[in-house]
Amino acid sequence: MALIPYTLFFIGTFFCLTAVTVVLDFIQHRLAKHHYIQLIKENRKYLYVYLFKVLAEVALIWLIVAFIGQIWMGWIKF
Amino acid sequence: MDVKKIAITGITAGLCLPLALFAIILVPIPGLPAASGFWIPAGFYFVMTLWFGLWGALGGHIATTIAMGYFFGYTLHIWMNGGIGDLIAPLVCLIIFKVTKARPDLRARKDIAVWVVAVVISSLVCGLWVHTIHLFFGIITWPSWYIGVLTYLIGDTMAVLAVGTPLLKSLTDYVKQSPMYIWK
Repeated sequence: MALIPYTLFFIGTFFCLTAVTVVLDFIQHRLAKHHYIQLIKENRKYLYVYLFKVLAEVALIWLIVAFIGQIWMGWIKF
Repeated sequence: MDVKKIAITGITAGLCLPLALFAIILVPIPGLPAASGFWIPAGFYFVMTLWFGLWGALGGHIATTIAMGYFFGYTLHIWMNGGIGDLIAPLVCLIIFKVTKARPDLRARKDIAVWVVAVVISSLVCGLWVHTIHLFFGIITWPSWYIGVLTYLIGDTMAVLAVGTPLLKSLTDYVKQSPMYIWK
């Protein structure tokens, strides 16, 4: 019998990669902040793309938090 | 009808819907409708309402209405009631910001104080609305009313402050460049 159920292992790996991607994206933005500000001035559409991408990333992080919270509450069982 | 405003509503609803469906944690009283423990999507539609006005609030309303239909098999008027409650709450917050002339970038201490107070008042108004309507329709009984209002107040306040504060502080400067930003 496996120590960690396969489904939990799969989802956990997916969540870890998602979290890493989001963190790297935030770091990338911080490093190139001036470049992005210039880009927004040149093309207003980039503002909306950036804004809604960040909101979606934050939503992803909260979904991961909720997943862990629901395991803790006993709503999700493996 | 302005397509951009509809897009704001659609994007807010699209962001909030998966959270409204799946990101519910710490529900203190299972089975009590709208006894929100930590209603994460509220953080998003409060922020979208402070940036873009009514159109952000409408997105939250749509997401809550659809999500409550999925969850627990609630009946239509419970969906509608929860949805209207979540339309009222961010608008109350917006009105408080307008009346006090606070700004959503939360730069000044006054802005932060207004934000905290506005979230508490909005959550209380919304909790009172939702649970009083439930009481009138006979969905909940009297002892559940004040428990529901209290859990709604605490749960929504915690979620909106935890989710919304970093979003307002970090993204408002970008949103200010949008012609749809309502604080110009």
